[in-house]
Amino acid sequence: MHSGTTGSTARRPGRPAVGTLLLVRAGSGSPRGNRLGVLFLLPTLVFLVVLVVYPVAYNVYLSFQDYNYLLGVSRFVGLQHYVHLLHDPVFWRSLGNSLVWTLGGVGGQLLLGLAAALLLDWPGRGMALARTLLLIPYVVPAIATAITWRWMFNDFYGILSFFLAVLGIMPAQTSPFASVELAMPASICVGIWRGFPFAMIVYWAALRGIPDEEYEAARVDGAGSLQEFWNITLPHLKHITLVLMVLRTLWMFNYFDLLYLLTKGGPAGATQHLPILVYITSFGLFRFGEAAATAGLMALTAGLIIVLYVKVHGSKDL
Amino acid sequence: MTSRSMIASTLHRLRLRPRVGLLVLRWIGVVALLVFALFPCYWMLVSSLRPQQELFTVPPRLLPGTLTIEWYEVVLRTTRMPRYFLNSAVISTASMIVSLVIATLGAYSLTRFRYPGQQVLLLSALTSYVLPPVLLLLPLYLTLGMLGLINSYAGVIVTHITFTAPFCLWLLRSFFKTIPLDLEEAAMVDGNGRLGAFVRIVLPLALPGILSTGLFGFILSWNEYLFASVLLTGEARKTVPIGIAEFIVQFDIRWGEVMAASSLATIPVVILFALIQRHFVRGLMAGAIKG
Repeated sequence: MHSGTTGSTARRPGRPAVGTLLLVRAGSGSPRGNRLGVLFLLPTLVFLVVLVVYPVAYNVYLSFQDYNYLLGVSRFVGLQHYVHLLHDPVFWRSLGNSLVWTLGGVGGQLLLGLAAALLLDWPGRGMALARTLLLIPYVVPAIATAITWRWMFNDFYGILSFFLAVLGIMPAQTSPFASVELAMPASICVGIWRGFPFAMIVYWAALRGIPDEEYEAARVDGAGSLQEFWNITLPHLKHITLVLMVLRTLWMFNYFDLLYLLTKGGPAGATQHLPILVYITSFGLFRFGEAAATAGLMALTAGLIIVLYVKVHGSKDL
Repeated sequence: MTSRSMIASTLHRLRLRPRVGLLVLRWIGVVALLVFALFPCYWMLVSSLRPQQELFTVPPRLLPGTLTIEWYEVVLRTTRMPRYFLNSAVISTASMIVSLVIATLGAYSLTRFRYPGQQVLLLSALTSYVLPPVLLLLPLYLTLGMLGLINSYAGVIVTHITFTAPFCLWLLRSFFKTIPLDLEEAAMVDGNGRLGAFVRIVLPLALPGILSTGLFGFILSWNEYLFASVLLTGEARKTVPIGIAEFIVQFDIRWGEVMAASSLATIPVVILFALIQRHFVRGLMAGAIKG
């Protein structure tokens, strides 16, 4: 559909830095130019201070308080919530669920996204249309996604439950969301459905960015398509894979809406991941201090995951 | 003569067959992916158009028999859904506009000027996009409560900006990087000030990118559940996702109505996204993702 226009921009990633330097010399060298730059930056600064720095600091403060929202009383308890959480099996179980949900989801999204991108990176007719259609799950509201999958997995009338029962994967007239073993895998499937289009489109863009000359040179050298894939395509995708891993990991790890609307953390806490634990602790039990500490530990874990990725792959790649 | 042409055609076919095989495989793959991606959407739509007795059949039937719009009538006539749609539209539009103002100015400043602390700023902007929403949930809830902004449009809009603004900033930064700087320089040489060059050259050139980025921010806000569920407890200001989620609590899930409401919530964003996805993809390719 639009492959002509998007294709041409794909091969020109970004502008050369020389131009930037020129403009910086011409524009911001003068005090007036600089003033405009700072003026334009003001809304962003206000945003960062009011909606990022302040809430994060407030959350840290809250996590040191024993804050009963219903009674409206608050007292300083230091690290007590953190110590309590680290000894709380519910916290560790939620962390474990978070990791399973994240790893399963990210792995599935990247693999399916790469497969889809490879299938679409082809001048065949209808590929642009197929690409557009495949992007749709990415924007379906989480509530609609959750409800539809719950309906498809409905124990009596669900079409997927029916087919899974016919194939002998699941007993008849059951829903995976009611099973302690199957609720998480089924939820991860929905997470993959929802998120794979993003990985697909990023991989697709990366594939379009690989210079044709490299393939031609390989063909002259007599390389087969498998060798081409192994020696040219994959190395070119290494960097973008790392970036995707970091982005998708954070997205899945932080994502509350979909899993909560699918399962509410059940059955019996089998799908209760950290965001759901924070939500239940705060707006179910009104233990705001403990919830803030949980959210803090969750953010720390996310930071740790990033550090790990960067350590493994080298920081210059990011 | 004939044998030679037969050999030639056999050779031809031998060379062709793997390609044809590959083509068939590729199409099978694409069709399988399309079924995986679109079947849930199809099922949502079909279920919303089925009369009661066809909704609950064992085994479920893939193709619809009779179609009805009775669920849509029920949703639009007897529930508060129309009001929730209005609320969602107001909140998403306002979030979009505020984020666009912040992000357009910020992204322009970050791509065209150099000042101390720029890397820190860029990093904080990226970090703010990946912060867990539940980390901001309590501080924002308590602060907005203190300001009397629970159950108000403004309160939810503020919370939605926490994720739409960084998203827009990041995408717009890459759009601005693709706008040729020589055009701006030429405008400035022609006697336009920096502001003039921004308003006359950069804004018009970036407008498609700015609009599509904003519309994507609109979609993010439209779909959001967490903040809205906590901040909007009164009937007057609830958004569509909250309304649909309550269908499930209130009744013993009336699937026809729920599917109709879900379809109504989904169709506008899918249409919007179909219109802007070209720019979205281009923004990603221009390096938004590389930062």
